Amino acid sequence: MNTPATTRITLMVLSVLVLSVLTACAERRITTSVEDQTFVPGSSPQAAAPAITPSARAPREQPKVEVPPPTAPVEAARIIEPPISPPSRGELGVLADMYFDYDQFLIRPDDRAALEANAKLLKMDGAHRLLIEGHCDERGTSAYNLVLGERRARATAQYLQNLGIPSSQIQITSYGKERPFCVEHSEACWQSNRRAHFRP
Amino acid sequence: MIRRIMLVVCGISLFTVVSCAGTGERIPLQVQPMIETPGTLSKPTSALRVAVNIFEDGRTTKGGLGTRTHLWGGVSYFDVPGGNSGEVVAQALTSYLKSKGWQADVVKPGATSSGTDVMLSGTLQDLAVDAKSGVGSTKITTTSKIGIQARNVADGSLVRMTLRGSGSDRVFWFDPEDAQEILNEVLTQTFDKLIQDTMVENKLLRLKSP
Repeated sequence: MNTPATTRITLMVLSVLVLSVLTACAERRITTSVEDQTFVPGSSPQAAAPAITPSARAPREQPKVEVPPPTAPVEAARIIEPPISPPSRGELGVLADMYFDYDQFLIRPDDRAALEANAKLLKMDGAHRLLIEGHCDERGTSAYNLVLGERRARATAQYLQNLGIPSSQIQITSYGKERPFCVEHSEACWQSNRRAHFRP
Repeated sequence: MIRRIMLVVCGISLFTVVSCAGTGERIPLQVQPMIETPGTLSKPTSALRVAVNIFEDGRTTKGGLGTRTHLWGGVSYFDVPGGNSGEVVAQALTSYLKSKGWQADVVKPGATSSGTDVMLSGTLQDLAVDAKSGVGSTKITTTSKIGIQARNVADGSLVRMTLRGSGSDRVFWFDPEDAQEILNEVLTQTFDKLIQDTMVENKLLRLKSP
């Protein structure tokens, strides 16, 4: 027998269930965005020229990371230095970057395998000269990071030499914190910027 | 009548407790682009050969995707098959690019790929899926942030961008496929951004004009 009280309870239970289902089915939201678009021209005149000159694209192709700080003429001279040898086609285009711990320039044990693979590729293509760029995250002064980047590049070069790559095949440079891969202010981003990059 | 209602309520509660209790299990999520996503993204005019390097996992907590927090305590862990998120996302991007008419292949670090026009590499700065069960619903959230770098082999120029995506959904009856679906939708839409914001000129990848 249904009393008013049991009917009320039944209605309440049913209402809660219906409300739960309705709440659960209410939403799906997806948002996407693109940040930090930058274009870094290459060194081949034929291909690089159209990338630099069109005025329409100019605002997007002037990443702030490429502009040396005006207050440091010594750094500027190094930052605007173009790659010594143009990037080449083929195998040496895929040399893996080395990553470093904060304020360190020691080759990590987990990077050694990749560095050995790089050395193998370099041995196979002994005619190529390689530029190793040392990069740092944004913390610290520009001057400090230029030195740290150089030490990272030098440590990487030394490791390659120990693996039998002649020193004549390797050159090093440092961009300090002036050419970051990523411009976020997060540990993940800083980690991706603390690297030695190979430019064949 | 009251006894019957109590029975139903107890039954539902028991079922909820049993089905929502965390077991600490790993839930593999298949990461693949949703190629049937509506959109009229055009094919590149010339066949661009893209070598996609396995992405670097730059997340502070490497491995795994996130957790499912159960209603009555306990967690399960979302993961990708094989555990290498960087590789799985690179594979997904490759499949996506192929679906858009690009000739794309995944290459391992240090591997060679002859005839490549563009070397694409990336860093996973964030990739997470979490599901939190409450009374009557489970909220799923996913976030992704991928730093992409495309190097044009012919001239050495670089195109860089950071693709960011997030999604959320609320379901009454949670199934791991719900988490998988929203993750794949977010990734696919971020990949869309990569294509939408770039163009191919003489087998060189360029940013589109603003």
